[in-house]
Amino acid sequence: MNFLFPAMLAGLAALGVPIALHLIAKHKFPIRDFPTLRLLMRDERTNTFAPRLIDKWQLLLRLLILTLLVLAMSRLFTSGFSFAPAPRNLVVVIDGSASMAMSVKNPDGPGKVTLFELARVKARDLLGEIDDSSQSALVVAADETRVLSNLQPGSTAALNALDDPAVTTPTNGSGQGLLNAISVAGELVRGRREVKSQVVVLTDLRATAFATRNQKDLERLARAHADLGEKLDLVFVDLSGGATDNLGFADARIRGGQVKVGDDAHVLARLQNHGTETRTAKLQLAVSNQPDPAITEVRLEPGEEVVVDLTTPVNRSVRTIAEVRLRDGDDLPADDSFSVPLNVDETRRVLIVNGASQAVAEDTSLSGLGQTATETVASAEETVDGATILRYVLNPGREIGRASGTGIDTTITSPDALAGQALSRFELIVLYDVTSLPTQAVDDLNTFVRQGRSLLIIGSGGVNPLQFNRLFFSADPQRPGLSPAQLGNDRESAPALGLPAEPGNHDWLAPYRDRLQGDLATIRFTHTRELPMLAPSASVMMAAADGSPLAVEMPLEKGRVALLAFGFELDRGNIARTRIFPSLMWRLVDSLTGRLRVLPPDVLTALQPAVLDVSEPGFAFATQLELSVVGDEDSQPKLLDIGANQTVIVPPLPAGVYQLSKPRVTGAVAGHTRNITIHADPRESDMALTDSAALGTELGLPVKVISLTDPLDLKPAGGEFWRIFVWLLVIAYVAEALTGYLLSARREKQRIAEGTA
Amino acid sequence: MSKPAPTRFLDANTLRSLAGIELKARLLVEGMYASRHRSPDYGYSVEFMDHRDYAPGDEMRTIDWKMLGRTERYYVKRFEMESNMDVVTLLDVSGSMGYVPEDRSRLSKLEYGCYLAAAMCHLVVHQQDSSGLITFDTEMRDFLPPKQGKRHLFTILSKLDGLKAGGASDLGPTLKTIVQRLKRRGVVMLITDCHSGIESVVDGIRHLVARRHDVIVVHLLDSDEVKFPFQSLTSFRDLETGAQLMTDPLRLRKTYLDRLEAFRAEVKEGCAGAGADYRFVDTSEPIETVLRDYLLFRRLRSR
Repeated sequence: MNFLFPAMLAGLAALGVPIALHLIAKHKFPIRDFPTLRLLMRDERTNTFAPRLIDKWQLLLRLLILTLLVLAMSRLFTSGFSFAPAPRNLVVVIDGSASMAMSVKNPDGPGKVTLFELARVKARDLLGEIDDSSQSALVVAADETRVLSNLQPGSTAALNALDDPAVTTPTNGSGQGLLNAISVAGELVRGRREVKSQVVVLTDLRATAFATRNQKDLERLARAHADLGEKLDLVFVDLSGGATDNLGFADARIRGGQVKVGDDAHVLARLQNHGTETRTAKLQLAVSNQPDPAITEVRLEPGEEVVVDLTTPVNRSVRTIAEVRLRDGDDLPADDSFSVPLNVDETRRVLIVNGASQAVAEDTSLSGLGQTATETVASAEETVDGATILRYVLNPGREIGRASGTGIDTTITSPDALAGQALSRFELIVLYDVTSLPTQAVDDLNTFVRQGRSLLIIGSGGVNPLQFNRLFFSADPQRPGLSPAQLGNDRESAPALGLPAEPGNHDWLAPYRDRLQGDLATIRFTHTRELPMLAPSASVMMAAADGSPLAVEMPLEKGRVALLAFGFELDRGNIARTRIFPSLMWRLVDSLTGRLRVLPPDVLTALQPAVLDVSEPGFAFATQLELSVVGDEDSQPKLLDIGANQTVIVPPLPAGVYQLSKPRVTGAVAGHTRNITIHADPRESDMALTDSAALGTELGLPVKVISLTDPLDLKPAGGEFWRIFVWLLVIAYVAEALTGYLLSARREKQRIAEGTA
Repeated sequence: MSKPAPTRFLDANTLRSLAGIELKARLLVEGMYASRHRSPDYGYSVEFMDHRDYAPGDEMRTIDWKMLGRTERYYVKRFEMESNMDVVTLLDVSGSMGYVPEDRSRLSKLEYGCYLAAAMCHLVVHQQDSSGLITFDTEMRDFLPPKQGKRHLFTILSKLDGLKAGGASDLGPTLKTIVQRLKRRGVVMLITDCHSGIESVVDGIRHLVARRHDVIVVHLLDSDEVKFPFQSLTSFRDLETGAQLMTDPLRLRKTYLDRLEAFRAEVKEGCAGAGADYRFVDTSEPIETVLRDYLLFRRLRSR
């Protein structure tokens, strides 16, 4: 026999209150004239006013009431017998991780049922045993802990929360939040020492859920345990029943990150056998939800992990999803497929403004060159201008009639026709031999660059430096011009100017540090332009052997401008004749169009926030992006603000395929889009189980682990006496009221008898 | 509202109970008129007292001729001279006598004393004696010298009717003063609550007795003073001094009653020592019973 709330016994001190009131109560003393007062006044001691107890029975009744009240509030509890069910606090924690979607044999009927559904049934049973004097709460654990029903009397709220559509299926999150949910449950019951508190965790008991533990969660649990002691029961109900067979994809990625039109897309899928038996997996690739008929069979030993290369040809530029699937699936469907965004490179559009030939039309093709070249090779070499050479070298395949190639689509125009071009179609504009431009064209170029595109200026021999600098260069850092350097006079080098073994550290030139990738030392320049002054924010991309800068670049708000101090004409050096020239130019275009940056794949983990780089030109003009679920038009898209570093924060989302786009205006997604796949945490595929000993060690407090079929009697034995005390209180109150009435009537009678003296 | 008649203190029941009873002086009294009371003077009456030798000048009719025949000597017969009696009622009207009892149906001590005095005066006047009234507190307030006649009785009753209690009391000095005013020996009935201290009370009584007065001390106390029936905490206020005392009567009751009993015993002993009659009266007792019992007591004692 003990008190569930012994602190209330301090209320016994209140017993002194009525006694004190009785003793020091200010009675109304009647004043009475009396003749023989001298007989009374002779003894000072006797006449000293001394408190005396009056109405002793009423006092005793009041003391009894207080005593009963204190005992009732102290909740005298005995384990011997019970007048009513002993109250308790029950917090049911349901593991909502992805592994709870595993199907097992239905213990109550035919077919299979998910562990999560089993957990809900068990939770309903446990909550059904809660009476009105007890309290219950419901918590669902995933990456984020959700208290669906706070601790409150009865089980109605918790049972209603179980029917919440949001918890009818498990989340795609990991079990990493389970410990946090348990600590939250401990916080809910912490301090409620008056009754037994029970935290029942309905989980599949995966070891990965407790592999990483937050110190704060452990401290909270320790506090709850220290506070409640033996009054806290932590019970884990193992719902899995030891089911461990699972084949699951841990990861998948596109080999090389990018796929070009005409190539095969290689999807490298990492498959693991988490079970205890050897399994044969049948893998199938689906692009744009169209399954490839080819089935790849892989045999995996227990615990073995294999990477399977699944390929599919790509014939067009497309942004879609490639999904690897297990043909037959297994009991845990969350990891039986893995989707990755498949982005087949789109054509990069490059506009070449050729200032050397005002007569060149917009659609001039190399066919003209061909007609000219039919006369003599030497004369042809002399008549071919640098812009034409550049156009040819940027996509030679297209120029000879093949659809594929470098994916660079070039257009040549003249400075005068520049104003007529829709610049937003292009990712890169090359000014070749351009000395002057209309003011409107300069303003358009400025806007083009500042909004995230790139400009390449070729300082060939035909550029008038005075006019060029007046139009494009400014040394004022507050008002930078378009050119990253002041253009100087033509400089003739004899002997020809070469490149050093290490021409620079720029990413553009990174492959050529290995000469097997291309030898820059073969390049010789006979004529280059001097660059007497660089803009304040400019940096050297490539320098000559004598240290003079040959290529400089400068950021301009969101875009970049690069300046080459050499042209490609055959009389200015041999660069156009070298074998490294095409790759050098392709890589320069890659660099200026942002393709050289290594970005993480758009494959995220469910219910975990992520940061995505959205600096691609397609999103250059947007301040917000829209994230919508692919194939679900009914879902409400999320608007993501683009941060200062051209990044967006993706909130925790369930698994699925999403699409990032500019906010739609007309109801349909338009413009540049980017696919993002979100997968369940691959750790959820791990079938390793933990046990009570390991749990006790990991959590630092005694835990009890039982299986689903084990009896779980959580009702504490014994009961409280509070009902008896309440009844006695009622009786005592009635008696006290009656006594008070009688005493007051007697006093009134006495007062009348004594008169008004 | 009509003023109550002065005769209100003459209670018919009291007077009826006193019918046939007379107040006889226990001691010799001096009077101006021949009456039924023995006088210290010798006179002519039916009560033979003794013989003495004849002396020249004695009236011849006083010679006892039978003694002459037997002894051949002249003796003169002497008779007691019966005189009328002065009965003076000394009524204490100090503040303590004005105590209003808890039971309003009872008389206050002053009223009770007035009834006693009225009945006594009525009795005395109707037995042809002289009745007087003196009221006092710390000094003599009213003095109605003893006289005979119903008119005088009416005067006394009128005086009683207008009495109000007030002031302190000190019996010793007051009685000394009063004694000076009583020219003749007689019966003095002192009606008081004796709230003056035992020495003062006894000293005053002794003064009265020393002047050969037949002193009757009626120690008059209210029933509340005798029984001290108070229960609740009470602030008592002295009727004479105004001093207050807050106390718990229940705790003091026994002590109080013991002290009161001791005080009564001292007064009684003092009266006995001085040679005065002492009669304790509780105002709850019927007046007629008190008077009747006392008068009968005196008659029996005188036999």
